[in-house]
Order: sequence, then structure tokens, then C-alpha cells
Amino acid sequence: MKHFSGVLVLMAAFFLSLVAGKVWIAPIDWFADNANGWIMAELRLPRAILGACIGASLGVSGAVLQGYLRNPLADPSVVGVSSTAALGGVIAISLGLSPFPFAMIGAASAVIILILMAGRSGGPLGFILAGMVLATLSGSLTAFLISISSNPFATSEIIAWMMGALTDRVMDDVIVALPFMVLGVAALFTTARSLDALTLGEDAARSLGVDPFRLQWVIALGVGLAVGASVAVSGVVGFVGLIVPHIVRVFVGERPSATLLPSAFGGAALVLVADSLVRLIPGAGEVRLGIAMAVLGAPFFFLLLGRIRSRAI
Amino acid sequence: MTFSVHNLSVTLGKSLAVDGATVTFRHGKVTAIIGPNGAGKTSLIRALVGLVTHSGSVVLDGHALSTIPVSEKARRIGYLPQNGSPAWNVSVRELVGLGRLPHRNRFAALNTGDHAAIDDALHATDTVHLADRTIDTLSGGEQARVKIARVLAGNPEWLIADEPLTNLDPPHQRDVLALFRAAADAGQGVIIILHQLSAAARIADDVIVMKAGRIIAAGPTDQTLTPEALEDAFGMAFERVAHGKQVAILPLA
Repeated sequence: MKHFSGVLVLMAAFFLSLVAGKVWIAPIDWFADNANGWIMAELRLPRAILGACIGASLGVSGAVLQGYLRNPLADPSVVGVSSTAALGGVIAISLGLSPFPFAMIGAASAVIILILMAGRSGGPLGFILAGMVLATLSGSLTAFLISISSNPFATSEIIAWMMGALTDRVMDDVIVALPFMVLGVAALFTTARSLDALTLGEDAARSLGVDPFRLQWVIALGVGLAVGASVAVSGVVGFVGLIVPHIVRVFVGERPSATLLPSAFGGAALVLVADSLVRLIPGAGEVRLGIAMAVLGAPFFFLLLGRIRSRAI
Repeated sequence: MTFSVHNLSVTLGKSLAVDGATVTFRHGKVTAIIGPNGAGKTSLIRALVGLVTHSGSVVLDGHALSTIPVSEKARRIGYLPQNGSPAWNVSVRELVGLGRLPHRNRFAALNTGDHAAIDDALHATDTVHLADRTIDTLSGGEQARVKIARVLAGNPEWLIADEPLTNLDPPHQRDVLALFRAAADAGQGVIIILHQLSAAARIADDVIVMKAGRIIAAGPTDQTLTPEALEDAFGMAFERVAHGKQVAILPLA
């Protein structure tokens, strides 16, 4: 079984995420009729499921975008979906509303603009430029909204939400977010062979039957659904989409289609482990997941870059 | 089996890259397209592969190219673009396997037929011993052969290549030309852009000479690859030198 080790790593991370926390819960207590059983059913389980789904969404989105743009530095933030979704969430919070639908609307508008801007003849370059403009614009608008917010509670809520966290998520959040992520990830998996063909360049890929326009909108839609729903339910969790495909390539090689499923497993495992660590750090509150991910991810990524560079020389 | 263009024009931006080209390519033959830089050679073959919008018609076996389903077109026409390294450092076998994409169902793995075609392509290009190496460990000559193997693996009716000899030393040029010759002799139609005029003289059955978007000569090699046509195309004098059975075309500085 080719993906056996990936599944194993994911299962271990999932287990860790269920048992670890301010309160350690042994498997025999999972279904117990006491406080621990309640924590498991109401808090840990939905949080672990969400963490796994968000990680898988981000990992696959990163792998697909890196393959499509043929650029190892691509991740969901470069196409603007994360930041437009975050902007939607921020607007909702400053109006005192639930962030989820607004974040999805933000992601949807990014998808529409990406497809319109990239156009029929536009290749990956138009896609990435449109994405960067979107990311910068929505980042600025978000900062503007924070700066004019007169309510300090709303401001702190916005900042906390933007940093990304899985704290206090319940099964209802899972039920709302999961369908979007499943649809998005499924759409992204259909691009596998086109991404392989793009290894040879755009002209060769088209000569092998790849429709670049169709590929572009499937990717925009898939990333929009998967990453949009992730941001909508947990805020912005960076680094996963960037580093997971790199880790995966060390094990499975660089062929884009070979990196997709392992990136789903790897992304899920990474988010689950990081979220477990977040709960274990002593203190009254929790370190935000997005920050923990960046603190863990950045040095790791530098190590990886060093390895890649030493191999290239 | 024929492949032809009628009154084909390709516009890039504001300039006319191909200006009213009409020509028929012969199956089982090698057709070399020659001409100075910017003569429209690449635009002509990109139109043959369906990669560029154009006026006029491109007709494959009596059917307009635009009416042939994308996947069928991809199976029948193999295209090797100019230079360009693969974006990812995949293995030789994986790269050659990409040539099988048009033959596979969307989620199907490589089947025995695919593996056989890949093996045949590796054999034909003498790259079997490289199969498990990754692309970045290959020399320029090895990379060129592997890229040709990728096109051969698709077993297309038509093999179209844009300057496949670039960056190759004389022995590798000879080997690559022999590959295309063998493909034509095995019944494939071969259309290649060449800057090596002596190579064109040696390998091509037909030659198309282009200049400023127009075809100024087309037909059997000994009638088209003449010093007169070359001087008209390139604006400099050439001499055709016979050495035994070999022909060399020398630019006269």
C-alpha cells in the first residue's frame, strides 16, 4: 500500500490531538459518562476533525497551486483566497455577525475575480498577478476596518480570529464547513493529470489535451471552496500549504499528481500536531494556531531550503 | 493520410507571423521547415498543433483540426516544443510516461499497453539505462533524447518538433536525426523546424522555406533546398557541396 505510512502518520496525529490538552484523556475515558467523556465528544472530536480537514484542504491546495504555477513558493495566500475570505470574516465580526457566510462570500468573490482576470488566454502569470492584487487589496481593507473599529472588543476579536485557531469549535462548525472542503478538495484532485502535463510547459501540456482555461477555473473553484471554508471556520492558518508539499516531495518525488494525496495526509497531520502543541503550552489562554504554525514552520522551512540548496549545488 | 494548411495566417499582437501559408505535409516523410529567425516557422507548427488562433484552415485527413476532439487530437499529433527544461525533477520514466496521458482515462493508472509504449520509446532513443535517473542528473544530449522519447511514447501519427537539435553536439545531432528518420520510415509523419541546413539536406524528404511569414519554397528537398532559395530567405549566399553521398550546405561569409 503506497500511502500506508501517510495514513499511519495521520492516524497518530489524530490520536495525539484527541488525547492531548490541558486535560489528558485516555482512550478508556473517551466514551465515559463524565467530564472527560463530555470534553471528548463536544470539544476534542470536532476540533480534531476540523483540524484534519483544514490541514488536508490547505495541503492539497498548496500542492495543486505549486504544481499549476510550477513555482515551489506558491501557496493559497498568493492567489488571494485566504485574504479575501479573511476580509469577509472581518466585515462580519465588525458588524457583529457570524463570520462563516461572509468569509465564504469573500472567497467566492476572489474566485470570480480570478477567473475573470485570468481570462481565456491568460496563463498562470495572469492568475498569480490577479491573486497578488487581491491579497494586497483585501489585506489593506482589513487593516482599514481594524483601524476604524470603535469597539475595542470587536477589534481584539478580529485580530484573534485572523490569527487562526480551532479553539471552541463544535460539531455544528464541522457540519457547516465539511461539505465545502470535500467539494473543493475533490475538484482539486481532478486536476492531477493536467498538473503532470504542465511539467513539460504550457504548449506541451495543451498538445497533450490539457484545456488551460478549464484547468484555471477548476483550480480557482477548488481552492476557493477548500481554503475559503478553512479560513471561514478557523481564521488564517498559514505555512501549511507552503511547506507540506515540500516535505512530501522528499518522500514521493516531484511529479505533481504524486504529491496530492500525501499532501492531504501531511497537511492534516501537521495541523493536528500543531494544534495539540498549542493546547499543551502552559498559560491561561492558548497560543493562536496560526502563530504556532508560523513559529514552527519558518525554521523548518529554512532547514528544508538549506537541504534543497545543498543538493542543487 | 494528409495534413495540410490552406491560406493560413497567424497574427501575434499587431504583426503577421504567418501570412497566407498553403502547404500539404506527407505522411511517412520527414518535412523540414527552415528560414531565418522570425520567419513564422514556430507559429506555423503551433497552428498545426492547434495552439494558436488563426485564419484559414488546418485540415487533418479531410477534417478541420478545430472539429477534432481535443483528446483525439492529442493522440494523433505529438508536439515537442522548443527547449525548456521540465518544471519538476521527475524520473526519466515518469517524464516519458507523460506522453501516454492522451491515451489514459482520467483516473486510470498506466496499464500494460502504456508500459510497453514507454519501454519502446526508451529503447528507440537508447535511454533505457537512464529510466530511473531524475532529469537533473542528465546531460543536455540525454535530456534531448528523453524529451523525444516522451513524444514517441504517445505513438502519434504526426510528430512535430521545434528545433530539436538545439544544444546538441554533432554526434547527438546525428542520433536525434536518425530517430526522426526512423519514425518517418516506420510510417509516422515528421515535421521539424531545423536551423542546421546540412542536416535538413541529409534527413528531409521535403523542405519548406519560410521568409517573413510566407512560404517561398516547398517541395522535395533537392528542388527546394537550393542556394537560390536560401539566399532569398536568409539574405546571404550559400554553396551546396557534395561529398560522396553526403550533402553539406555552407554559408559563404
